[in-house]
Amino acid sequence: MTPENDTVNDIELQAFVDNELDSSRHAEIEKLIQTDARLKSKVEEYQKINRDLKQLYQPHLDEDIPDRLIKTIKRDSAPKQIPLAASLLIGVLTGLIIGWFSRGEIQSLQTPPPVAEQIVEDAFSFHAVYTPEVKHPVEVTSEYEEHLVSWLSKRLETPVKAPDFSFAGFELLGGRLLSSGNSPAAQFMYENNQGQRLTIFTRQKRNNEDQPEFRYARRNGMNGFYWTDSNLSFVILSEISKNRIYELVTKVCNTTNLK
Amino acid sequence: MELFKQELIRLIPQLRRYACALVSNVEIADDLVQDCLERALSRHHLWDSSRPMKPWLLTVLHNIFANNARQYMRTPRLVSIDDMEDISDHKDTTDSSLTDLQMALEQLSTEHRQIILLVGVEQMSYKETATILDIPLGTVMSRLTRARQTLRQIMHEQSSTGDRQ
Repeated sequence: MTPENDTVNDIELQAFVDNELDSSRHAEIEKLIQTDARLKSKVEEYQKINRDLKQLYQPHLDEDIPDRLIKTIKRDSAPKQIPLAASLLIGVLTGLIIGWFSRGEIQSLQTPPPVAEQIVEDAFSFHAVYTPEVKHPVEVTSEYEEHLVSWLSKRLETPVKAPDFSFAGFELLGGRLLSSGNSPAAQFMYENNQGQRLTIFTRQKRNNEDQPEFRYARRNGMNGFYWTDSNLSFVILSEISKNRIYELVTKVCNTTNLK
Repeated sequence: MELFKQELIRLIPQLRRYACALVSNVEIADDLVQDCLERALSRHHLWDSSRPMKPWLLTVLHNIFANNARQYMRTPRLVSIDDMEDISDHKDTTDSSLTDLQMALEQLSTEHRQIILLVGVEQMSYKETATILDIPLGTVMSRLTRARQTLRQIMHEQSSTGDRQ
């Protein structure tokens, strides 16, 4: 390594990759790279990260723009010449009228019911707490599956079952009794031969908690789906890709009476 | 005002791209973009039309995010399955090194992720980035360097764990 190379610190290297150096320094470093393989591979790695980043987020540029965003811009065309007091009054009246006619609707359209937020939140927490457990990931192991299922059904006061995911390589480890928003809840845990784990968290469905479609949520690298059937609400969570989870859960819903 | 709005609409996809990368949940990202558009509209008189709008918009978006970070980073809001399929379709067609990159990005601090995205994806200059994040130019350079070093390290760790399995 020539002494010159030492003068190229990482900060300068970044600036080189981002084309932020003046042309003479840029040319100097370009020259150095040709003779220093370590420097070259580092630069190439950073360039690749930038290329990959662009590719990774490219799909967002091709998506249709959600209506609500276009509307935000279009609706902001109230005539500006109206005196302030009058426009304030119009604003208040419009707000009152819109508020009156859309009462009760806004929440259901824009945000899922809070009870759903609660079960999803709980499912993520319990997943994070119990899946890393080596010795005691479950309270009752799958060896006693029959007992586990009847015990949990009794506590949840409605029949629950541990769906079979063995077709996808996920074997039941067992389950445990937990709680969600002051009511009993159950968690079933599965594992595949790569040590990846998956949980299903369920409790009795609340009034007005109908969510027959799957809804997706993600947090700390975990993918999850939430849905309800006639009696129960479910959240399935795993570190595997959302597509794979979706595939698993739709298969199970089609072939058993889980849904 | 019409020109302003046209330019705003033209930049929405790029704002969404940045917001989605920042909060990794499309619905919350769209909330953030919507808040940003609303604020931009209400302050359009502050925009100097002789200068590019994108850095200005990203500054607006960043300020909103910084002031409400807790709200935007909160528990995942549920996303309808239609939205989700949109994204995952794209992801499946991309190779696994991109998935690794995304996983590595998610492990970075918000500060580090922001700066990598502003420079690497949104193509902001160091100077523009300094304005957007409201930090000195020198900090942009050192923070970016640290961020990329960390990202690179995480990716190396990921690939070596992958080999062991």
